[in-house]
Amino acid sequence: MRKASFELSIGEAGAKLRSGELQSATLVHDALERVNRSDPDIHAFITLTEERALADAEQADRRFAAGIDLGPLQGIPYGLKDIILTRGVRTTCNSPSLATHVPAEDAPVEARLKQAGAILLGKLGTHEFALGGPGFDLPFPPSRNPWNLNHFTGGSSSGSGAAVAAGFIRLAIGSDTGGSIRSPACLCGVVGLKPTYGLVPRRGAYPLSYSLDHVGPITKTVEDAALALNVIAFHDPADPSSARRPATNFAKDLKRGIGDLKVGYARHYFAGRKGTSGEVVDSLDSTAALLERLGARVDEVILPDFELAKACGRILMTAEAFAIHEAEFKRAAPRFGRYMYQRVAPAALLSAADVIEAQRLRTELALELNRNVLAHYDVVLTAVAIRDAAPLDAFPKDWPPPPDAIAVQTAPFNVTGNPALSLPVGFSAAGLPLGAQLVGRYFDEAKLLGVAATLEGALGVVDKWPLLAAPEERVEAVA
Amino acid sequence: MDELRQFEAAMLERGVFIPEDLLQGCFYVHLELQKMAGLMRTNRGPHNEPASAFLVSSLIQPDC
Repeated sequence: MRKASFELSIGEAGAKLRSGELQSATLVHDALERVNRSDPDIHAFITLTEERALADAEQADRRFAAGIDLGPLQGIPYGLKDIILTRGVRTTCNSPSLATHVPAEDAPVEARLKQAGAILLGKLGTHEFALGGPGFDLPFPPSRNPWNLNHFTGGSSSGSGAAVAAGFIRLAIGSDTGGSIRSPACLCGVVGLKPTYGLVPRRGAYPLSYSLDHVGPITKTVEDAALALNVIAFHDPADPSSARRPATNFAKDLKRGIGDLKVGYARHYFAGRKGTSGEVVDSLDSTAALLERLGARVDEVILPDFELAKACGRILMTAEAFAIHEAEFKRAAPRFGRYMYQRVAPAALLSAADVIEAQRLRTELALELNRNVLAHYDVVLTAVAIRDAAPLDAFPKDWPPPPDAIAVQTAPFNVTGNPALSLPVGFSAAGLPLGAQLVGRYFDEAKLLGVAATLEGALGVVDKWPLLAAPEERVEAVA
Repeated sequence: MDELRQFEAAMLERGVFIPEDLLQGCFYVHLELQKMAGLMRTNRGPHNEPASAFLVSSLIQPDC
């Protein structure tokens, strides 16, 4: 059966663009039509760059016609989380303090995507400054989960997860400080990759936490993520955290199989945790069993204590976020939403010793994970979240929401800096996506993506799409 | 003075005035952060271990 344009992978669309069977202008037009039809319900986009996208798509088509090929992303529409600076295009961080902010420069990641000929379709929803939560007091409303509009998307790259899941775009670029790529990817049923710290430059992504921020792709498939990473992984001499690595084709291991690999299954990380749903445990056990059937050796492993790693990440993140926004917090009337204010202001009472202890602990945790576990296993399998997406109305006006509404298992790998990927593995009884988290060795994204691609091929969930409400059903669906 | 008001006063000393309607949420996060800071201290390694390093080598770029 012929696929609709939104169903084409980046590779499939690229082949059709190069053969002349498909025009980039058609891809963009189809995407805009889908966005205009369904995004009034989903709120994935904060800003649509419609005119620019159509003009850039025509330019891409002219390049194809002239035999100019800038690579696999040429002519492919994408979106950026609205904390990533875009020259001449509003970048709000979904904060009252930046609601009309138009940057003068592009973030290096955005400049790189432009150079690759990709087509910016717009800026995507985010929790305020990539933290906050799904607040209703922000300039733009929270994104809604395309699988059920009454449910949370995960966050903070909420619009990125929703836009890819809804088929608006194949590629979104998000950021991840404690799980902000992997959480929406998991809860929206798409692929999210937090690369190794420093692999993708984060300069120009408005900082939440200097030492924990990562920039990475959210895509429909693992191959799409690998192709995107090939473009956005590079050294930025102006970013002190940017790694200088040899050029790598991150798609090289997608078809290598996993017969000779060792997988550590960190079941204790989630199975014994209060609030973990039986569906999550079952889906992860099934994924571990599938890896074994595919030929990998799977052993249960023990990771460094979760609560300790979470504490380390929270102290560092909150202290760094307060340092970034201190002047605004000390204004007579700070311009923040309620969640952002309540989650960050109390860092004023953290001591220097608290932060030093966290920095010290961070190194110990990273050594423990990498020397005691990942030195012996190629990847680690564990959960992303302990349940499916919570209803949006579980989130009260003020912090905190119920613990299980936001319970994710992601922050430890921001603390250690290892690459970590969220892969869709199935659905809950409520029809909401469930995901697995794969964690790799430093700068070994190719292998991590290879394991994920093998699993993806065997699981058979990648071709499923949410049924988006037709306009006439809209009122009932969001009521 | 109860703990909530002590927290409010301590924040004010550091230059952050918390509006009354945001106070409970801030206090909840404060308690959570203090509990986490305590957890880190009960699980620390020996003082003489150089676990926190400042790596000059990581700051030197070949093209500098």
